[in-house]
Amino acid sequence: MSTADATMDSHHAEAGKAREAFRAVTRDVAWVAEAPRPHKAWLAALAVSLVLLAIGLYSIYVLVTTGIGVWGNSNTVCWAWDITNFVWWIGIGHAGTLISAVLYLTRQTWRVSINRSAEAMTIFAVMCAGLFPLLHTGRPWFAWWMIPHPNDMQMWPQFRSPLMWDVFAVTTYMLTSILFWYMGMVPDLATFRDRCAARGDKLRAIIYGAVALGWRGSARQWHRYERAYLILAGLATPLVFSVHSVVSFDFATSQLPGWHTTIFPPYFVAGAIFSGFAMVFTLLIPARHLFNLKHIIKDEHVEAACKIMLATGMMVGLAYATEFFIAWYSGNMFEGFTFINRAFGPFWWAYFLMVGCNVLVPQAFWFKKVRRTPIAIFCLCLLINVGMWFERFVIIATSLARSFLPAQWSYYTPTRYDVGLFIGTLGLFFTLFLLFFRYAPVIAISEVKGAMPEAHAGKKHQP
Amino acid sequence: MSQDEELHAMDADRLEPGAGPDGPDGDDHPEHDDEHDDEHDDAPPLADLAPTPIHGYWKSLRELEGKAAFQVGRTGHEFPAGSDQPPRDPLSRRNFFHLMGASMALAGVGACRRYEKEEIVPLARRPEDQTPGVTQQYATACELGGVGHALLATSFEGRPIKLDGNPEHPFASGGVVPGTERRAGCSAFVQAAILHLYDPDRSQNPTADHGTGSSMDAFRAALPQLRAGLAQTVILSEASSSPTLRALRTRLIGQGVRWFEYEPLSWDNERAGTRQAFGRPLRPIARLDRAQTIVTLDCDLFLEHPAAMRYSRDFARSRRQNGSLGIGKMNRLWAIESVFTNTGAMADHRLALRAELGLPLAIALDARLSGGTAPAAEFLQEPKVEKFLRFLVEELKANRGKAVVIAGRRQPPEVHALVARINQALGAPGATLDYVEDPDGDRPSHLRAITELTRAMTAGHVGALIMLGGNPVYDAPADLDFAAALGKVKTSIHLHEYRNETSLASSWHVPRTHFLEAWGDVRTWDGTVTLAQPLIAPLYGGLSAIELLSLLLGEEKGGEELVRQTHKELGLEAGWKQNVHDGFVAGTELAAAAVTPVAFQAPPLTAGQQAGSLRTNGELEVVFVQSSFTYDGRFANNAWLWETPDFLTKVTWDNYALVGASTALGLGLDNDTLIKVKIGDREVELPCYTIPGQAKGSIGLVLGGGRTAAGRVGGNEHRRVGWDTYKVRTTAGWDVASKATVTSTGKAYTLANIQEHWDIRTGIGGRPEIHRDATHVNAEGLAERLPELIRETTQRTLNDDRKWRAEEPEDFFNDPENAGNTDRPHEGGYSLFKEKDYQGHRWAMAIDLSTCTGCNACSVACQAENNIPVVGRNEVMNNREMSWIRIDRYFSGSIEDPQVVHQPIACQHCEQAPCEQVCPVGATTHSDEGLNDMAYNRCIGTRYCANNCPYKVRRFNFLDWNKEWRDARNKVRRLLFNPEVTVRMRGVMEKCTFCVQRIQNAKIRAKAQIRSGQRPGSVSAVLPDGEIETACQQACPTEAIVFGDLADKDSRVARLHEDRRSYALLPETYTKPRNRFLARVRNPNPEFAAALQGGHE
Repeated sequence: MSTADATMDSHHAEAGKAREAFRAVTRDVAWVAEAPRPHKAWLAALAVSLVLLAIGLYSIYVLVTTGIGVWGNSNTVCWAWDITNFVWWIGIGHAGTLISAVLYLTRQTWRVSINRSAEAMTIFAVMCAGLFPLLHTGRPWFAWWMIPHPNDMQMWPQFRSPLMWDVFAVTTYMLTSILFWYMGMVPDLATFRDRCAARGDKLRAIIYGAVALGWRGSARQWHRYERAYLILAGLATPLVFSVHSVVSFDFATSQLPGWHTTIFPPYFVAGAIFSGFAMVFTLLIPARHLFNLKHIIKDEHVEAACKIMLATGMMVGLAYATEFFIAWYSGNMFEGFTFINRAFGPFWWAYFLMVGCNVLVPQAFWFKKVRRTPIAIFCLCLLINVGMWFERFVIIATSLARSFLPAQWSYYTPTRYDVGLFIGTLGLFFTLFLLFFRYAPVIAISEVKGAMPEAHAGKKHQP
Repeated sequence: MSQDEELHAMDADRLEPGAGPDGPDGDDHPEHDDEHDDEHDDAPPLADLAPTPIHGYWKSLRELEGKAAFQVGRTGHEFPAGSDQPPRDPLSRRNFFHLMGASMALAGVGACRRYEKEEIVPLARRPEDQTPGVTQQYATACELGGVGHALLATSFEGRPIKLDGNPEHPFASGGVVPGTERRAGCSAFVQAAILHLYDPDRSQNPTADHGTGSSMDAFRAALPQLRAGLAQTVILSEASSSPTLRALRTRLIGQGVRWFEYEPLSWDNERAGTRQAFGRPLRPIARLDRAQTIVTLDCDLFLEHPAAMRYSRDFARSRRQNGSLGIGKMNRLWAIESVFTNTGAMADHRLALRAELGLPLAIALDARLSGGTAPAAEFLQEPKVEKFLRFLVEELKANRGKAVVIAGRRQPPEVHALVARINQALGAPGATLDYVEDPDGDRPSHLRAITELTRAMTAGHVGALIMLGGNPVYDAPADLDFAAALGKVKTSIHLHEYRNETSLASSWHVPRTHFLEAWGDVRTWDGTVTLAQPLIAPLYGGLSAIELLSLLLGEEKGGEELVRQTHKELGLEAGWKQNVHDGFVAGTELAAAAVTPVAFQAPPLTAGQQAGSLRTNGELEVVFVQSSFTYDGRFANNAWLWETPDFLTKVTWDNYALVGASTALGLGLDNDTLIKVKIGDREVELPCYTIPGQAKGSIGLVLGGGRTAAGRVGGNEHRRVGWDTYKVRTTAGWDVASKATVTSTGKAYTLANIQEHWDIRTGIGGRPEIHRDATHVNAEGLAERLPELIRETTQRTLNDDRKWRAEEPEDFFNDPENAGNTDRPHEGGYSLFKEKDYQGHRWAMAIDLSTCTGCNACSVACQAENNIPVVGRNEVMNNREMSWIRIDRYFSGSIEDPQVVHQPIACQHCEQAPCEQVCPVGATTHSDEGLNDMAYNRCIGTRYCANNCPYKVRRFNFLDWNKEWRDARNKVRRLLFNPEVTVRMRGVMEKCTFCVQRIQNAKIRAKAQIRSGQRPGSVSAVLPDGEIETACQQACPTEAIVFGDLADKDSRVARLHEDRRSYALLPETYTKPRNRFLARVRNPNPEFAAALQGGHE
């Protein structure tokens, strides 16, 4: 890579310093994976996650062998925690693509410190989300009928169904996200490979070598890599908006008052970004503390995300207000009742939890002091996650529980298996995330380097 | 450890603490006790269940969690396997041991039935009248409470699968009048009785010495001894109208046998009343189709009356205001009653009055109509009562010869006598009322019979007691202590389909054949001799009542021979074949009798009868109410009936105390709590159900729960369903008891209600004191939307306002300004999707809210026809009941004088079905004939369709409701399944199909007949209207449900869809439902209505 030209010569001393700084980044990221013993906190977290995962697996076992009846769903409230969890996880999966693709295209260089973990989070969240549409079916062993496939009965899925659209939207999103994440990781995996080889850790060198796909870091490779990355970013960007829009169609295209509303696509996308960012920082704030990454995931990065949460939180709040207004303005008796019932009916507690966590809580981000206090941000992010879960619950359960014919009104109470499966997906998510944190380049080393002042002659760019 | 001990030990943790049998004076249900833990499993010990042991028990998860909200411990556990109840996990360790243990236990039980060796040979030639796969129908009959019901039984390859009313029967159908079909309704009880035929809990072998296994041979061997002592023998029979039984009875009485007859729900007061009025017992039969004004005095015409199905038909005739189908002027129904009944719900004017006030009220009516002194009763001065009576009397006077008054079975004989006199004054006999001679006028009343018998038994005057059916140990008046008296009888023989409480207390139990297994004859309420022929050989052996009597006479004749002999004696032998075919003997109805009134004096009034409506605790009245689930307790092992919600309370799987809303407020009683009802020194604890519109100071105790030996569904000594209210029913207060005290125990108890409680409490008038939580939001929402959902009008509006329509025309599309709007592809709305063009049949339904009495016959018919599973009490609480047709019920008006509105809801078969659009796999699609079809084997169970259905008619199989029937020992129950309808597995959605199997069968039959030249027409031609009947339609006594083809413009359904009363439910959703409702027409007395509205005269 060394080209001895005049310009470089004149900055020789600086180049040396820069090289040192680049090395420091590599070292700081790689040590997590190279440490011979995992951090105790990591082990503890993994143990907890595995327990949660086990609870989830048991819940799935009982569910599949016994039937949906193990849940609290009823003939009135046919969807409840299952679809709530699905939408919640999908929403969380939004920040990844947004950070990787949209912020990349808009050249927000602060993204580089968090994009890798955000992408990983996306993939794991979508994996968790994907479990629910599969498992919530009465006969999950036939869930594959939702996928178009040639068969001798010439049976096709029903393309008018929004659930069908979900299948395409989520699958596309999942594939693109994985592709994007993995491709971005290739140079860093090569770095890991080289470092392992240098240390003589042959086994890991072979494994990392295999997944690094023969990356050598040549200019030609870099050139193509950058192009491909840009194209993928371009492709992924619409997905940020499409996936949750499509998910919102599950509700928006139905007849049910409280679901049947055109505001859902933008409202859901804003909410998804909102919850996605909240989840990213729920994870990264402890992580950057534990693994000493504060100089890479800087306070300014966190602050920028807080502002995004503030903005999207207010969008969500506006959506809540708009729904109420439209329900009244439409003059539709059923619509109007649905919203009054949401706020003052038997599920009022869920509604006010939702409004409190999603509209009031982010208002704290107006204060710089809050945006600079990691523990406060962490707590607020947790609350936002709770609030966004309740948003989906309120939309789904309260609307179903009080639909058109009063004789069929009912209430919904979850069972232990509802809770168990939700806990299980949390376990799955954290288990995967912890494994990722330990064994993969958790920060995009090459991108961080590219965004460092040292990478830019004359330090014209500030990260 | 012996085998049995081991089994018990294994079950020890399943039993509730203290769940032993109640003592004779047990006043509490130990298993209902609040303190006990909910987490125990619920199996009774196996020894009790042999020889049909149980294995799987099914419970909800919440129950497992032991959450207080799901009071399993208190309610007793879910019924065991073998009932209509799926197991949760048949192969759990515990269940495995159960199975193993049960098999071992079975091996040692001497009571096991050994089937005779038989050879199976294939038919070399098909019997002439049988085509495999094609059902056959036979006329037969059954009897309930001494009244015969003519039936048409459907048999599939030798096994009966469905019961319906016999439309050829003159009394059941009432003949054909213009605008009606030839059809006979069939009550829910009678239809559900077929479930008993295949009940694995039925008794399968005789037992001797209070439950020890025995055999029929041993019983026969014991008979000669019995015959020797006939003079000391007493027979206690269920009420029966059978001519054959009567003939045998006469012969036995001739040999010295004493005969008694007992029914816990008896219409004897009517006989006694007519005896007072006319000097001899007569049976009044009202001709409701000829009456303009119908007054009921504490009488439920449409559910409890022995002629309920016929009365419903007759009543509905003039209620049907269908333009081209309209018949005559609309009648007006005035109901005076204590407990809210179906009749009260149908009434145009209803007065809630304590049952004991029936007498002063009858005296007052009598005084005003036929002259005489008005009674001095305070309540008559109350403005509400005074006004009601004034307008009622005015109308009755104006309608002489066109009015009829009918008193109910709870009213004392004096009231019946007075009512007879009132009817005389109204000129009813011969016009709107016929008196016929009571076919069994000599027998003593049921209450007197059981009292005398028990006295004789206690005194040791009964050498041997033979009980033909019935369950007096459970349902005889409590003060008689029948069980103790039975203990003093040396030989007692109990003939019954089930080994019930009385069987266990008798020295012999003999299994009785089901009515579909035996020959018999009955008389319907009008006296028509109706024949019962067996459709299947007895599944478990056994004897019918007449066969047992024949054995007793030493003849050993078969049922057929006995019935035929009676037939011969009646001089009808020649028509035997035809009569068996028709199911009845034409012209045998009782002739109308001429009556001459006899003078009688009305008795003096008691203090309670002179008082006003307000009553303090301690002077409350208790009325005993027929159960809509178990009748008098006899259907307790019938899961279909337990799970069919009561029409007014919408409760399932329980009986309860009905308390008027204001009475409950005054006494501090609340829904979902247990209350103690004390009459004299007897008391019973049971859940409280507050209901608007019940008379002040009157408590209704529903009978028929708390059985201790009903079977695995209806309760045994370890686990009960409901509460035994017979404990407080004594000879003194048999129908109506006074001086009752009611106290709240404060213990919570949740009733399995299919509609939420809020509407009972807050759906009316928004009374703040009974608001709870956030329910006023619901009350407001309900009040706002009800007029949209259930359209009503009055007869007067319908007559005066020719432009009145139930459905408002769509404003936008009917506005001339928008006439040129070409964006409008279809009348009345848009669809994003291309709308279907229907070429052939267009199946549709119309449901008339004016004539639906809420008798639940449609629900049970649908259950039987479509193999609908029962889910059990806990799953009803979880809102997972499976019925395809439900009757939504709402109250409107004030708490004291509410009106009931109700609406049967099944799949609306929308042309633009929202469910179809959202199914990702296309499991629910539209047929070319407009049916919304379900392909069960394509369904993956996303339940999105149910979410998107505005009518919430789709039913999801949350668990494997039919798992139980795969078990070998329950196989017999599977014989009841309708082979034309798929039994659904768990995880798939289901709903009403418009009985698509019947549609297809009719089409196939028509095509085959046309092709073979048996019938004119072309294969593609429209089927004649009425050729296809859905199950609900067939069962409906009032023809409120009409099904047919819209493509046939002259079909009844097409004309009803065009009727101005017709409206679609939720038209704004643009679902274009194929089911339309006909607005309910009430017919209030205009002057009275005006007076009520004005609030003054």
